[in-house]
Amino acid sequence: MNRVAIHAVDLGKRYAVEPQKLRMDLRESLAQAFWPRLRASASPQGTLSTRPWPRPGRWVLRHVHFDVEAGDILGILGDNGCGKTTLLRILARISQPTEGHAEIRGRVRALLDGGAGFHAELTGRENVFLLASLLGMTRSQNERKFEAIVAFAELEPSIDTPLKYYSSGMCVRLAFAIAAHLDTEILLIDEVLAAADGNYQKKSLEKMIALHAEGQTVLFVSHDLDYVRELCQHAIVLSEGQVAFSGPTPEAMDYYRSISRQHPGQELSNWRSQGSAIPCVGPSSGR
Amino acid sequence: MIGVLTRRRAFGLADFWEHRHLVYVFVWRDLRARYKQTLLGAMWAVLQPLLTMAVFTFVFRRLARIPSENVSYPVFVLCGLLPWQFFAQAVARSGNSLVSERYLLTRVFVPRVIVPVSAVLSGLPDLGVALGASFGIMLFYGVVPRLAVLMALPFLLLMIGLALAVGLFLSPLNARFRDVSYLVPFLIQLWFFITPVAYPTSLVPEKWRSFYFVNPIAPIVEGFRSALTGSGPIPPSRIIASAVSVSGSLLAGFLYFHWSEERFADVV
Repeated sequence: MNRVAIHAVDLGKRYAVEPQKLRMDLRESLAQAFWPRLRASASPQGTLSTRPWPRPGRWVLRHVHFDVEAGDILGILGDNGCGKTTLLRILARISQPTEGHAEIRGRVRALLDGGAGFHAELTGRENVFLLASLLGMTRSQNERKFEAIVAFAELEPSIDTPLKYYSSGMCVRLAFAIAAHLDTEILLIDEVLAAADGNYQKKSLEKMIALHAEGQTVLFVSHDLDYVRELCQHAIVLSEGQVAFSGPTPEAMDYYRSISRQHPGQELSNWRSQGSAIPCVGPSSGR
Repeated sequence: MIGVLTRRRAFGLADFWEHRHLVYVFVWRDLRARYKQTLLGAMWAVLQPLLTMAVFTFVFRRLARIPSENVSYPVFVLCGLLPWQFFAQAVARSGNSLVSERYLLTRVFVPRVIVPVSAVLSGLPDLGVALGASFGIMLFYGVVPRLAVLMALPFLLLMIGLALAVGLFLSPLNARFRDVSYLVPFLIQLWFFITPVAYPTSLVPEKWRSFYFVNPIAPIVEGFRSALTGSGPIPPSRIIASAVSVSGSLLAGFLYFHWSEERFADVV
């Protein structure tokens, strides 16, 4: 019997309020801190700021149960806003679940974005060290694997160029190459490959199959059903924050097609060619 | 290795310790990126205090005739500017750190406290470079650094601690209320005037002086300067008082940071 790598029990995530309302201004907050009664009596209905904690919020994930066996590649399907990224963030410890819990056996590394962690002013070489360290690679591992990472990303000629001159496809190639060499037990990959070209996507797919053969557990989010079909034995379909389907990939895909809000006629695999709007490098931490 | 992720699993000291190498990574990144695409590079770390020294000497010495105890005014003000500029920049940088790293923090797992800590520490190399150049200036003015210079070290530690304490309060507040990023530069400017950088403490009337040293950075700047210029001994009681207040505020800062991290983890 296979070991279970991830055992998620009743995971739920609630964001306190809609993001734009979340940042109430200082005045309102101070007023609430110093004169709670005054404020409450001034607005008997109870405005947002006078309601007791916890505030009403929006559940982006609720009652999520699933298991991932060690060494499995699990596909996660779902429309935009269904909670896929939130789920990966929880598993990567970037945010905490509001309820429920997940048991994780093994080290988790996550690539949730093609550019997060990179610094635009630094060269490709420096950024390999930077992102690899952020993702948990030690310096000696990094030195050992540097050549392989650069070779895999096919960026030898431009590795000493500042990252700001890279195309978003090049950034993604570098980021994925680092993630694929992390030597971890559980790897979470969010939709990051969309900006890379077809050849690189194919190569990444083969790399993930190789990682799988070495026993890595991979959670893979993609809108590209072709990849999910090729890569994953099992898949879960998230819909409105819940696991709507969990099982073998072909059935999961059929189910996803049936609920997806895409027009039935639209070929989902066309999404690949549209690329994505992920910025290559985040707002550089300007100093 | 089994990890359980729950609501209460906030980041504690153990996480910080496990990821302490990231402090080095962040500082390294900031240093690498800081003077990229500049003509003068790390010269800026020297030029900032030196140019400020020149202007202050003109304004406060020539025009305002402010005394400078027993060293020449340029040395006096330079030895006050070095710790002050480090402190001011460390506070500004760490206060903004969570906000400027929000893109990273929502996509890569990093114990958050690493971010303000490394923001404070990334000012140290600049201070080191500036200190080296200042020794040259001091020699030029006939002030020969003696072994007493080492007394600057405890003050340096206190300064780091204090800047971090302020940053630990400001950075989560800034994540929640962007007002803080407007408030901080203003606050630092005012803070400068109640700190003995451009003028000696002896100028402060005797009856106000105990109030004056409520400002925790005041004795630190003064002590740092005395150590560098070798002018006059520093009352140990003042160092101890400073150490106590810095450790207290540091502890409070860490507790506040931890508390707000749990509460506002998703607000950056």
